Amino acid sequence: MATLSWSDLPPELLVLVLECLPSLADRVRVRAVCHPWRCNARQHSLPPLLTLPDGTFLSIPDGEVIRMPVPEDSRCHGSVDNWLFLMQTDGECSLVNPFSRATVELPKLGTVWYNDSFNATSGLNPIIYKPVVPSALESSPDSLVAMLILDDGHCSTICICQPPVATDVSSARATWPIQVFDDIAFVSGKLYGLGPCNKLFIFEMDYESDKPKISSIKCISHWIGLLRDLPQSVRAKVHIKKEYLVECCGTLLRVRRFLQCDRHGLAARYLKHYHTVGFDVFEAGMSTNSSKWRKVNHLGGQALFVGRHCSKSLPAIEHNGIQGDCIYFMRDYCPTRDTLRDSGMYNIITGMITPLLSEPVAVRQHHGGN
Amino acid sequence: MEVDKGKGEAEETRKVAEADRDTVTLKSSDGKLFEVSKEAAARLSTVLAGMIAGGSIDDNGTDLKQIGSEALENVVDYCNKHANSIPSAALISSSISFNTAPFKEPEEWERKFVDRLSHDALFDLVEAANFLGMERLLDVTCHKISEMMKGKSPDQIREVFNIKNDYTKEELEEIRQELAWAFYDD
Repeated sequence: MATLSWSDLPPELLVLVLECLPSLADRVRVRAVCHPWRCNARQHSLPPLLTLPDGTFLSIPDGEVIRMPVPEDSRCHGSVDNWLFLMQTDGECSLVNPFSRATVELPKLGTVWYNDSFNATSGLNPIIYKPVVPSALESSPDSLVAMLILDDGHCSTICICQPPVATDVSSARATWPIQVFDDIAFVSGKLYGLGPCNKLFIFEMDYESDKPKISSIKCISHWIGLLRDLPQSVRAKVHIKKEYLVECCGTLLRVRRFLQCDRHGLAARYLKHYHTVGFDVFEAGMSTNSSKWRKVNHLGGQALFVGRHCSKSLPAIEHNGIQGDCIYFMRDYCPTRDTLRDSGMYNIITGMITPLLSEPVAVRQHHGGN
Repeated sequence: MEVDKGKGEAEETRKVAEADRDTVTLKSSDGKLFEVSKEAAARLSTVLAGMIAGGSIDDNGTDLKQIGSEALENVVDYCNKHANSIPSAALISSSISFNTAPFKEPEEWERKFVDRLSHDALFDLVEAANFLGMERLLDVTCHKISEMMKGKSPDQIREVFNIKNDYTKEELEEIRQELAWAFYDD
């Protein structure tokens, strides 16, 4: 029978085949076979990738670490979805999608940070950049980009960009009392920030004259963190916690990550001796102005990815190899050579942590197109 | 009148007989007839299940004009083999469980079943499975096709599937540049 060639494989079947290929590299190679496959596979989303703090990607289903070629004079400082946030040695910033090669030019964020008089006189330096967008950059390339910049003085600065220009900067040092934001996230086009004493803030935006500005920063929720809220396993020992904001199916989730030290005495002072022991998740009730946090015991089949440099949620059912109701986390503190140290998957229903990889990985070096 | 009545009765009897039969007859595009377990056909193919439930199964062979005899033989073979194999617990749970991955690995016999197929037969079978709404067979065949691609360069994949490289030299170089990291560095 088969009078047709494999290149005529109907698009819906090619997509099914691609779904059986967990490796990103495999999928990309299939796309390069012929015109029809390239065209039909384009509609298919990439497998879930976890951006690691050093700018590499971890392809979760097959546990492969992929180092994307970035221009020699650039460094990856973070990411949003599959877009890398690159900063050149001359300070030029951009978001680059390494798959499509699309680029969104950003202002020189380092310069923007130092231009703020409060930051300029602080004698400190920005260290972490977290870009967030109200909607996927692929579909809305003219989108606003908000950037959370954390510095080595544990202060935050929020920069609003209408690429390629910065339209507003809000430094924590300029506020009194100082409002430091640990994390920010967009939900339904609104920007939220997790502030001191576990308060949730909303950034009211003024979109007039094509220059979006923050018109007010309003606290919409207080959080009284009681020790008895903590998971039993965490309560017993000394711990520290990290918090993330993640948008998930139109809701805002606050994810608390608990780390414990495996050493005693002085060593407990050093973050490098800590490892993650558990998580808990709360959903912001956003129906009213004064929202309350509600603890959630499952994620409705979604998978969360949390990190200081990028956070996101995905429906697990659509991605082979990703588990629903799980939080994928990575080491986003104390940079080490071992990118995957203290990274893993926490199942919110069972409370179990599974390492992302059972064996040490060899990072595959990819030669860029140079 | 009487003749009509007789006809009606005969029709009735035929329908009852058909409902009682535990196989259905399918006819390929080239007119060959195949018998398949009704239970397995209804369980494995949403299209056949709909036809059986809707009474549009023809005792003399239900026409499947889009499917050639070789592909239909494989479909029927698969259904009958499936009817004889006890579905594993994992397979049953995968269809109802919300959180498990949507795809379950093919079982040993399913693997063997697709391994023995020629490339042309595999192509026809995956299309037939798609046409008949046979989710499990689609999974198994697509899995097989993906195995034939795994770890291969675009050149090797073209060779395996006998696909003509339809890119110009310039396009090819562009793709190579763009996706440099996905190619093996040897």
